Amino acid sequence: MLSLDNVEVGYDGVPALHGVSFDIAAGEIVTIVGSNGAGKSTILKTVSGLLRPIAGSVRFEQRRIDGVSAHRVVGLGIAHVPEGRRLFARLTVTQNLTVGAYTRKSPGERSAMRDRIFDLFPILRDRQTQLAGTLSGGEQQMLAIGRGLMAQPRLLMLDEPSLGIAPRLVEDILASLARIKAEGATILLVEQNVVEALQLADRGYVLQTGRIVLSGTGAELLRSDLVRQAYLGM
Amino acid sequence: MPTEVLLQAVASGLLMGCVYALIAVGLSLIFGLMEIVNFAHGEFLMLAMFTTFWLALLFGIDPLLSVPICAALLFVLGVLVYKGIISRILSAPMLAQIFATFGLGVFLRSAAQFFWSADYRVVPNHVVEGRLNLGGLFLGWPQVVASIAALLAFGTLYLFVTRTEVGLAIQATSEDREAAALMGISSDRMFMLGWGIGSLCVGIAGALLANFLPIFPDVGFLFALLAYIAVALGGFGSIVGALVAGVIIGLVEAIGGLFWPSFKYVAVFVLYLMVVLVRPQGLFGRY
Ligand SMILES: Nc1ncnc2c1ncn2[C@@H]1O[C@H](COP(=O)(O)OP(=O)(O)OP(=O)(O)O)[C@@H](O)[C@H]1O
Ligand SMILES: [Mg+2]
Repeated sequence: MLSLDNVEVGYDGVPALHGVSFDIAAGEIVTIVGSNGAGKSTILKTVSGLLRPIAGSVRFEQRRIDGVSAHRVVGLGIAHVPEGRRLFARLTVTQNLTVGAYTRKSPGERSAMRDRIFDLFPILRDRQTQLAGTLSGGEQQMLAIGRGLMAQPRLLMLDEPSLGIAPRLVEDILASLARIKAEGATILLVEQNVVEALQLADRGYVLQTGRIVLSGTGAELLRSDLVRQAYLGM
Repeated sequence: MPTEVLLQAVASGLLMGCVYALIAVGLSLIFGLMEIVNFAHGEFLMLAMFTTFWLALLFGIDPLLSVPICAALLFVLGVLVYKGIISRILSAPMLAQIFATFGLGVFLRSAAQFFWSADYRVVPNHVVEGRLNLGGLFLGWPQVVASIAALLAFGTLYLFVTRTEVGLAIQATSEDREAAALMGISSDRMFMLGWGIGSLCVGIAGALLANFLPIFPDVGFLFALLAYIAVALGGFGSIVGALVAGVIIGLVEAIGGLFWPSFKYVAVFVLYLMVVLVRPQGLFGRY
């Protein structure tokens, strides 16, 4: 469904990704794990069109999308839930969801999608008229995911959804991803929360300083020496 | 001082304040979207006033009819200025952005002087004139009409920005243009629209002011200055703030003029300095 081939990306000439290649099949949850500054967010930003690769290619459903502007990528079926949530703080919960559906104009589809999101995160239903900036961190993350889902993406990309959230809520949020997958979406999850992410994912990649150094199923990676030593401290 | 005089000043201050607010909100909208101050805003107002003047002189079109015409023309002007100039200097240093709009203002003012001379003009005859007697309070009908129309325009703008999907997209872009792009919103389209709508506001204000004020190439200067103060006072980018600040400035100007006629704008600046020292982000600001 999504494949990156030898993608190189830099910031002002300083390379951040050195020839990254990986792919995701429809219906999978794939995770990319790595520590601070490894280049995880850079990968997602490249896929969603916020950054342009210097070399290599990004394909989505057989179509090359590197070089497509960010505001067009959503319409192709890729939603990016950015790191730090980036909600529209001065808009209400409902308004954030409406903006999330900017590429989906049909009112029927929108209200059906909103209902699905409220089923997934019931707390948001009670918060509809509240300003997004006044939600708790966990609620904000749920809203960020919901806002991404409003575009009805076939590929949902999430950048560290567990960042700064209480452990109990992290479980809820990761469990919601399993439900989203069951409802037919493909998920690319970036995490520093290595254990939870690898337990949830079908497959994973380990990223270190802009290079993929290991790949395998979630279980394989959890057993690997590299992951055990570098990320689990064993 | 007799109460009637004070009431009279309050009433005329309120009326002018509504027009100031409409001028200021155009500026504020553009600034909120992209952190660019349109230093040609006053000249846009001047162009709308001259348009109204020429339409009246050449075609006998009443200033009130010019309101929608100026709105449409200024919308197009705003879009063209964005496309032709602003979109090319979005990532330029701030000083370059200031010079670009400032230079545009100087150019428009000089062009107006060249083509139309520095003479003061007055719209020949208009439908709305005379005064309204409110139990001893005398208000000019053109001013009353201007303030009502300005409030209507203001209310429409407010509903547009807060209730429509495009309005929400504008707000989203002004909060976080990258996140908005991830929702499928093209910031370029929103910036263009912002320039169009911001200029449309000043176009409406220009046509309304032409109903009772003389028109000359430098006429925009004072209004623009008051609008910059209103934007800073109300809080950069805040729509409600622009309304409140516009009305406050109208009031301070009118009441200050009672006590100290030759220095009425000093009162406005003093108020501005006080607010900015106590609350730098403005009354409704978020910075
Ligand atoms: N806007 C930027 N300008 C310059 N360098 C950047 C920028 N964003 C990221 N980088 C650099 O690129 C590299 C990869 O950053 P990236 O944000 O992709 O890491 P990450 O894996 O997402 O880290 P984290 O887990 O902390 O979010 C880092 O060395 C970082 O300093
Ligand atoms: Mg990151």
